[in-house]
Amino acid sequence: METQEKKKFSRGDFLKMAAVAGTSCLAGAMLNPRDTAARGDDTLEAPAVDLSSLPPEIVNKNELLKMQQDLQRALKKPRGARKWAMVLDLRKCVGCSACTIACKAENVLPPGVVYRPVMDEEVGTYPRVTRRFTPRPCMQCEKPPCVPVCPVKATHKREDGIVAVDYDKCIGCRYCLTACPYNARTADFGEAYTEGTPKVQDYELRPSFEYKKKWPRKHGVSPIGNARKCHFCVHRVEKGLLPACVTTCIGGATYFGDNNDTDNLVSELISRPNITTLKSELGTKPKVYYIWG
Amino acid sequence: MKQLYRIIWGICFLVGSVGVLERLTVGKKLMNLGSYISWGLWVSLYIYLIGLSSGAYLFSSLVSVFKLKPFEKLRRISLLASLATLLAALFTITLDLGHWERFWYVFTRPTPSSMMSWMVWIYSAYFLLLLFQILYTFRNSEKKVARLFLIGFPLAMAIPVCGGSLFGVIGARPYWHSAIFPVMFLFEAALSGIALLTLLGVIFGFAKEDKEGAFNILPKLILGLLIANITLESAVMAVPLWGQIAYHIDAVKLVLFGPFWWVFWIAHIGLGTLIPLLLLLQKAHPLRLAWASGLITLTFMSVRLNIVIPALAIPELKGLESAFIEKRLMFSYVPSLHEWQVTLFIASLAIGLFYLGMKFSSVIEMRRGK
Repeated sequence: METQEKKKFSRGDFLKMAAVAGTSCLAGAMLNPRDTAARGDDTLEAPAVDLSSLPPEIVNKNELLKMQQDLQRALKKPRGARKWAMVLDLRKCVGCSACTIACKAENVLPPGVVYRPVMDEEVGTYPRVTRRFTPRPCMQCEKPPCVPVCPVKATHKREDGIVAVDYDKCIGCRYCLTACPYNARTADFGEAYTEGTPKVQDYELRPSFEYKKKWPRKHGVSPIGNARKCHFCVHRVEKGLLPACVTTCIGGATYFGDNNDTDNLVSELISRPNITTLKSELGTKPKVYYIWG
Repeated sequence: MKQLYRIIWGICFLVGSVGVLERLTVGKKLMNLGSYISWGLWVSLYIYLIGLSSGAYLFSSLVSVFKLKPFEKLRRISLLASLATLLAALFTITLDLGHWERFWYVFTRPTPSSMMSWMVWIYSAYFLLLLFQILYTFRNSEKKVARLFLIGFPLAMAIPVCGGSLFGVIGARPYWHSAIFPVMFLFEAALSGIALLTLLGVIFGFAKEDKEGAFNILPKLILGLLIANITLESAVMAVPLWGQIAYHIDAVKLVLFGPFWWVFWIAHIGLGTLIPLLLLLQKAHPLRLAWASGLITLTFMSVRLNIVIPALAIPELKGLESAFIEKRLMFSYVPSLHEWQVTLFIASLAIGLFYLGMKFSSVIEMRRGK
């Protein structure tokens, strides 16, 4: 009898575990499709993400799947009706910088260009000391100081709120870099990490697919010589994939979604009282929110 | 002696040319700038040269508008100096752009909200005006010249004001974000431009044949402007220090006590202010005047460096300096040899252009009364 109960329990337990493991694998496979990770440089197509085969309760329990579902709902709306926002739960951030590296790889960022560094601060005095990690993507400000200073309208705010750089128009004056109160803009000097070695590695010469265009890495060709910044991986987002920093965050500290949708996970987090933004006193109205505690 | 100067100039020009060629072929890899300190030696040089150009032009337009007879003989030399420094400045900023081949977008895709757009438009108008003015001046079409000076006078005022506003409107940088910047730039341009003209006047012998007494008035004018500049600069430094808000004083502290303190204290205050002040307070003498104006003109570059770089050397967010450590993500900057090399080219270009202008114009002959 005891053995039978044990056997029965083990079977249920196994099934539950299998379901959780299966969902996790599925979510991972869906949100980080192998085809996308190892895509050929000349394809812009991302595989479709189908969540309809998963039970709703599983989708709702898994924050990544929930955000994915929210994203699919948002993409059905016209671009102007969306308002992309990001929430960073600093209580969950472990400072692993996986998001920084994922972003570097996704956007093929050269030396000197970083879209999402993680600031590491030591807080308190011994023996009460702790570390605070603050990822800093572009704040995608509602009132971005970088937009009005651009002399050629290369930096502009899209109707979905993303502050974008038109690489084909940017003259590389770097005035916008000086105007950003978050140091969130960087300049591409056309370097490669493996420069000075026998061969500049192929992975550094891959094109990037920012703003849904193919940008080959060639001397004198944009984005070399341009101002560059985080764009919430808009090329992924508009193909139904979450930004690279969201899917790679091991602590589940990064949330992304449409803040115009009240059912969205991100909207729910933003409506909480413990939410804040960086340098809110400047009135730039960032769309990157932080949960401190 | 003349031959020796030519040889030195030739060497500087050739060495500098190699740097320019490297810039055109290699790109911006040889620069020590980064993503945080994104403007450095060349932008400083640009605003320095623009200041000299507009200051010298402002002076000649004042002479024309208010009919200041004693200084009329310096008008032609000032136009040539304005054009030479303007061309050198425009070449400098072109090299600094990431995509200089797209500079014309500033005209085809205008952004009136950007102070940089206004700067380009005003400089372009100024460039055209200068060309016409030089043409008419050397053709002795005095009426046309006088009319152009009437347009040129407000334009010459607008240039440094616009330059100061370029920095002043940047709210993200408390060191720049000051209403005094446009006014300060105007006074700085006047001081450096008039100092340059005085130096050139002495070098080319205008001081020796000064029957009208222009070179007795110039030291007083420079002295007054020097005092005005020091007053304005003191205000820029003292007001935030008095306020004691860390965010506002970081850059000021960097200028006064940072690793490059000597640029401010030795180059600017010592060589560019105190020594000229002492020389100018003495009885007017061409040699003393040449030294004073020469020191002011040359060391004014330190003022420009101390405007551009310190504001960018302060992280906007605490912890950013160590968030991702790479050569181009640092909050410190020392110009590379390549940057100095190109600077050498720009300096020799400005001198060469001015010399050519002098040679092919009648300035010297005019002085000699031929």
